Amino acid sequence: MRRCAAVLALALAAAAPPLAAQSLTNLLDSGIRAYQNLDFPLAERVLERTAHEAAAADSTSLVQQARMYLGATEIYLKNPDSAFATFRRIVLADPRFEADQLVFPPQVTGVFDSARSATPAVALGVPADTVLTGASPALPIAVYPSTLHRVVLTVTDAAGAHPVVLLSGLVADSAVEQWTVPPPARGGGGGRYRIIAQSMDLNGDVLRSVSVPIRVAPNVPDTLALPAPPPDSLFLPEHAHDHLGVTSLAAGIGVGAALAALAPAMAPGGHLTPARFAVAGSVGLAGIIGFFTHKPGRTIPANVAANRAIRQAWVAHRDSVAALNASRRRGAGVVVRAGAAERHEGVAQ
Amino acid sequence: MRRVPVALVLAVLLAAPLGAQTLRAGAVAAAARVTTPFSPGEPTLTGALAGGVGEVDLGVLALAGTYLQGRVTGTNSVAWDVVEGDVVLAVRPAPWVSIGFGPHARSYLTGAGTVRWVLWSARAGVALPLATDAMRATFDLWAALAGSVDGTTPYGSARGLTGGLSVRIPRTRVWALGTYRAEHLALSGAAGVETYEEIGVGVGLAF
Repeated sequence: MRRCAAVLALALAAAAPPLAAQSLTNLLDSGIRAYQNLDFPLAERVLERTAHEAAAADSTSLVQQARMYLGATEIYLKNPDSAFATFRRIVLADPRFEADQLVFPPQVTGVFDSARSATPAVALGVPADTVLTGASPALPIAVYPSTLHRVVLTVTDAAGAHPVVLLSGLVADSAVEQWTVPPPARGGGGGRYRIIAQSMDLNGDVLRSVSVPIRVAPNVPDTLALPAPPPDSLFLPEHAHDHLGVTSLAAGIGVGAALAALAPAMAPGGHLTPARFAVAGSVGLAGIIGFFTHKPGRTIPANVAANRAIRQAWVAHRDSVAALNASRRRGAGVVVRAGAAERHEGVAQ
Repeated sequence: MRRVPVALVLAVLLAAPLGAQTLRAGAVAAAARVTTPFSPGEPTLTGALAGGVGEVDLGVLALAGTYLQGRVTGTNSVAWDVVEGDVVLAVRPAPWVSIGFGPHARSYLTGAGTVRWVLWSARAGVALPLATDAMRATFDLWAALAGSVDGTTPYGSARGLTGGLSVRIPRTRVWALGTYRAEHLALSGAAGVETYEEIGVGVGLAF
């Protein structure tokens, strides 16, 4: 009865369109239950479909789990070669994958380990998005081999040229190398590079490789906006537009002339002395001096000095902000963004 | 008696803020030339006078006074002591305009007695700044509304003018002035005319 239900479920699953993540998880659970119930033929079919559907959905974690249970199922179905091949696919997809010894018996983990040992592959550990600072920023690149073998780690430009070999040798567990990131060109959009890790056989031939594209761009730090020039309303007029000079001239000449002319009229026949002309001339001269010292358009030194102080304060503030921004830009470093790893059998394309 | 409280009330109401009120006092020296009918043998006398000036400036209202004394002499034996003074209460409708009224007296102590002019005059004047308030050109015209002469002949008329330059030394309390004054004083009828001319300088402090 239970078997009929499982078959019915499988039939429905087979006819269904690609599954969503939740449905894939349910399907994996169905396969695992079948495996745990020792219904290995059913488990094999469900897990194969799960791995297929999860691969189509780019759900790497589900694929790896489904394949692990599928390999174990195949061992119990007395198909060790199929199990080996399944485990080998796991290792190729993720050289760091390890069989859970709490879930699978040694009979299974032993086969997995032998498949892993027979499948030299390497995984790259590169920060997905990082900011590197300093005069010579260095990007740490980790190499994780599936088994002890010779690994060649290089960094090339986007076209695959100008390789820089960071590592060439046997790697057992892991290795971390530092790549000094070239400074991005000033004003450019940054550089594109490719990190390539090659797994070599004993003859020095490339078995397979994994590459990660990276993009290096200048880090744009937070900078302060330059202060705006002081508004015109802050400045005092540097040239006089008043009529002080003209009124001074008019007052001096007017009073002087009145003194000189009206005195005889006020005292007719009085035979006045010329002394009035001295006072009248002094008043007129003072008016003329006032005109020339306060004529329209004259420069007002106090206002010029005050305006100069405002401008100098603004320039000093602007220069300090510019210096601070330049300092921040100098120490900003670079941004390194890594893309998705690409795996190739043989030499990377 | 009532006039004193009324004047005080007006002074209080028209007074400027305390910071705008000014008290000025100083010394004046002048050279005078008078042609007078009271010295028929030698009508033109000249001499020097000295004295003081003072002013209380309340803004719209101002009270000013002058006192001078000295001696004028002729080329021969005539020598008269002169004492003169005036008090003017002025109203300033604008800072540079003043309209005033007050008594003005001058006495000549002659060998034969004292000749005293007492005039009640109305004045109108301007004090125009020459580019800066620290330097002003001043000009006053006055005419006597009433007067008397302690002589043998009754009073006729009187008028005159005063003009000059006043300077406030920047950033100090010191002021200085130079003035010219001409007066025409007529006795009644054709009894005679006195012409008084004076050029003076002064210096003082403002508070």
